Amino acid sequence: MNRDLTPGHDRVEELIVADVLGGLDMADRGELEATLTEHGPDCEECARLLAEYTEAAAGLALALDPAPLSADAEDRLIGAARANANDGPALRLVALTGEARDGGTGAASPAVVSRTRRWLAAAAVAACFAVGGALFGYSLAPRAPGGTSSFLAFVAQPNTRVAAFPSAGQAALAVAYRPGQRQAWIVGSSLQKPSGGRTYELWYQTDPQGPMRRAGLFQPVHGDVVARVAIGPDVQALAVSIEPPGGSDAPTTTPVFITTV
Amino acid sequence: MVAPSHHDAEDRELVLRVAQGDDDAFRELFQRYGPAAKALAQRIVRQSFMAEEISQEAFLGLWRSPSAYRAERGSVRGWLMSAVHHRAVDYVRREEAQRRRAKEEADPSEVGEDVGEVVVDAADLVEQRARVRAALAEIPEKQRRVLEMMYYESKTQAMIAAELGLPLGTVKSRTLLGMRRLRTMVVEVAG
Repeated sequence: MNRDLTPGHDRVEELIVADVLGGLDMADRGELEATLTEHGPDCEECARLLAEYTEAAAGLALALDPAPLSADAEDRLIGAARANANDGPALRLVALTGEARDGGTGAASPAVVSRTRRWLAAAAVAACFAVGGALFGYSLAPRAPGGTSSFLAFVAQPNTRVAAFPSAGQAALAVAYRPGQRQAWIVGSSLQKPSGGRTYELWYQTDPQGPMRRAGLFQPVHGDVVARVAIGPDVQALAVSIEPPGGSDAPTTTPVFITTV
Repeated sequence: MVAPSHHDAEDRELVLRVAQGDDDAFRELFQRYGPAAKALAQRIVRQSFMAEEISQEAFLGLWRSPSAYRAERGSVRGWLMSAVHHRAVDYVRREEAQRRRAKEEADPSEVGEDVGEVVVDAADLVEQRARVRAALAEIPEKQRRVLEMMYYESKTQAMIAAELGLPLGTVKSRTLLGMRRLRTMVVEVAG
């Protein structure tokens, strides 16, 4: 028995079904992206179709007999996670204030939490763009959440540089980094949330002829982002694209932000 | 929308703890879904070692960006399996491009690795596996074959159409009808 779809969703359903199975080609993937963007992140029908068909596809995964993991798989994973463990006090603060405190229900966060998050992101962007000048986060709002200290401490170091992406509309995005080091931070404001559960992914390039390498995933919370990323020591270019949940090993869409370093 | 089950509620609680840097919660999620994730990746990439790497990368994606998972978009396991599937398909398509040039074949002995080992799975996953297999058996064979070629063999609709000698529209139709049946039989819908 099929549900009645709201107008304009027959084609969306067809594309989503193929997408969750991995069967879309690039042209259809582009059409799906464009349609989901057109319908907007608040389209309930699109969200319902994505959720239900993602679950149905997951059923195909769970229909398989489980595979035994290698003896050290768990330890390797935890080791890798702990190596990223400073993968953000700031990022985790944003995640906490956005999703954890509201119980992950997707309900609107309390106003005070929202203001805290906005301060964090605004301070981070301001601090980032002020690098090289006289002012850093010290001069910004006094009620700094504890989690901002890592980012602001990073930015405050004299050899920290900022690569700002050319602005796209009202969106501001920049990467704070130190030459020769992998650790970096991406900060932004007024970013549009990718639709359909997709995520922003940062890429870096160390050779103009070389591949784009993964640097980290990030999601704006009410338009703002402060996230730890990892770039190569000789980065020459940075780019941001929109990727499926979990990211990709190589950009699958045209970057929405790009800059040379 | 998809109705959250008891086990899904537990998973969401684990993700909340992961968001706070709780690696015990992360370990628990991996213990719960790691074998299923590897099985999916292995079915697609046909290499045990790479399958494990791919499944680990998917989990690390959750660790690095826990806010990428949104409860209103479905279950944690749905999100995880989607992430694993996407990475595995990406890997295969890149490898196939190289294989077309090198004309190498995957070592068939890789596929048979680990045969004989038994994985003890959680009771709810055992139950869901039985339910999905029963559901798949009820889907007409022509529709099921298209779903399997797409999901397990990383083929696009155009590739399937070419391989089966069918019009693209027929493949799309079978895909849609097959998934509608699967969704109806597998997904618990709220309200």
